[in-house]
Amino acid sequence: MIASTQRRPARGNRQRERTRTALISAGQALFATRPVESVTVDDIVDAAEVAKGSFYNHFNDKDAFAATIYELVQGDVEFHIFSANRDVVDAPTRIARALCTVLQYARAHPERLMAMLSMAERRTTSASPLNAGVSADIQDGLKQQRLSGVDLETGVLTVVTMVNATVRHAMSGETATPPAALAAAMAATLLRALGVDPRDAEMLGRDAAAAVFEDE
Amino acid sequence: MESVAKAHDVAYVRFRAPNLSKMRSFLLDFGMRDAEIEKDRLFMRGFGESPFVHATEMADTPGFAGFGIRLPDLDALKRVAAHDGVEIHPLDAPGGGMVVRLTDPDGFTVEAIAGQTPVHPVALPGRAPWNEGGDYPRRNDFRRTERGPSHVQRLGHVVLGVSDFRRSEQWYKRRFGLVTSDEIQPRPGVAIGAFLRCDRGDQPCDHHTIFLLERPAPPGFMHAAFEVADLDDLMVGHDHLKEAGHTHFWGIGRHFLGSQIFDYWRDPWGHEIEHWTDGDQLVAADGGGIGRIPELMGVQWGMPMPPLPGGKPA
Repeated sequence: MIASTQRRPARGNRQRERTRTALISAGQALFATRPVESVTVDDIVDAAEVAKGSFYNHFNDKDAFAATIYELVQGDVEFHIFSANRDVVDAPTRIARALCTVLQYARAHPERLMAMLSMAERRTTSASPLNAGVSADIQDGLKQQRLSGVDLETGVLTVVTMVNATVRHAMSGETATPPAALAAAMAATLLRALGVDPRDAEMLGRDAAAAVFEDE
Repeated sequence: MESVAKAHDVAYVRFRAPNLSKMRSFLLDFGMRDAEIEKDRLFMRGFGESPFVHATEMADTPGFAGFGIRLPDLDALKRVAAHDGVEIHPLDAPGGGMVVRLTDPDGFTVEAIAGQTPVHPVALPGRAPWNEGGDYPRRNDFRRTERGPSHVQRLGHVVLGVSDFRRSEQWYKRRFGLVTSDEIQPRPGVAIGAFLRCDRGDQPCDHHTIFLLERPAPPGFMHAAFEVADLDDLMVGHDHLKEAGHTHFWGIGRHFLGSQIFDYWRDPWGHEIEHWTDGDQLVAADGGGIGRIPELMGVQWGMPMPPLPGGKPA
């Protein structure tokens, strides 16, 4: 038999959970505006209004903390890219739609996405989790002979850096270009950088932006 | 598609956990009641007629262990058993009845059941009408809500992350006659999931009983949702779970698809479990619609959806 339930105060647990939540939201806000390297554990505990010691009750170090935040957002972004590319086989189309989707996601969840991008800058290899999809698309594109002049490494780097720069620019508030138009133009530029025929690239960029931004 | 049987509802969810006492303690705080407590199995019920709505088996590794679907009668159960070429067994659980154990395309255990003996519902606290919209039916009748856990009435739906939506949809529809309330289409004609309800003919039922969603992650249990008495009951239960130190996940808010007011929690091993109230009701002839990603992931009001976890089963 199970012993009858005793009401437990569980205040320790509750406080622990609150501290973790406060740390993660503070981290998201800080990483959204500053590179991971420039954010200290002191900055994080100050923003979260918790004691410094409690940070280390939850995370081994700043890198582990940053990885937790990255993983939280990564799954969500992957789901949106997956949804946008469901049933799409053509690699350039998939890459163009991924760029448009990340930009659209940034508009809906600016802090989440910007925090993730800060960390994505340090995850540039094709083996990094979020880059696994990009990697597959680059490999397919090379196999389909739709991409050229890049290999896997340079292809992934090209996509990661251009997506990152496009989102940062769009979110900076310093451009008057409407997001869908920026997405179309940058998707086309990205595809050209990956060796897609320029006329094809322009059409694919426009179509991808129209498909992803059609609800707006 | 002609179906083998028409399910009436979901009946229960099963889990494995290394500590039944801890699970029970959480579920009591969640608003369930004891059904049966054994050395290595725990059965919890709600305030409704189901003999149990949540079962936990002692195991070293915690996890989702499947769910029950209630069929209208033994004839329907026999047809399902014959269709899949499996045997009918007595259901060794409170309320008895018979069970056919199936494995869906992603390996989830699905127990089709019939002939369970219902239990007497437990009375819910009195529900006075609302003074709202210019009508004031409650006069000299002061609303006082008792603090404590919610009152779980029943299991309402189960949500599964699947690896191939169309394959799973066909599997469930073929056996259980489910109908689509809203298909999730990121783009016209491209489906990644659907809210499925039971076909009870002209009898209304919940907007969804099973929700299947294909994600870029391995298949996995996503959540189980339990109906509570009403809005006050959900809010009071929220306070109670918070006070008891349990892990809140998402809510309170109102969904678009199904329209429920929702509140999501995590059990001690991280399984998502939902309180809901005021969901949509449909009959078979009401047909279905199409939902887009913003409707799936957005809210009409309340807390925005947290990031959807990826990489490993949720």
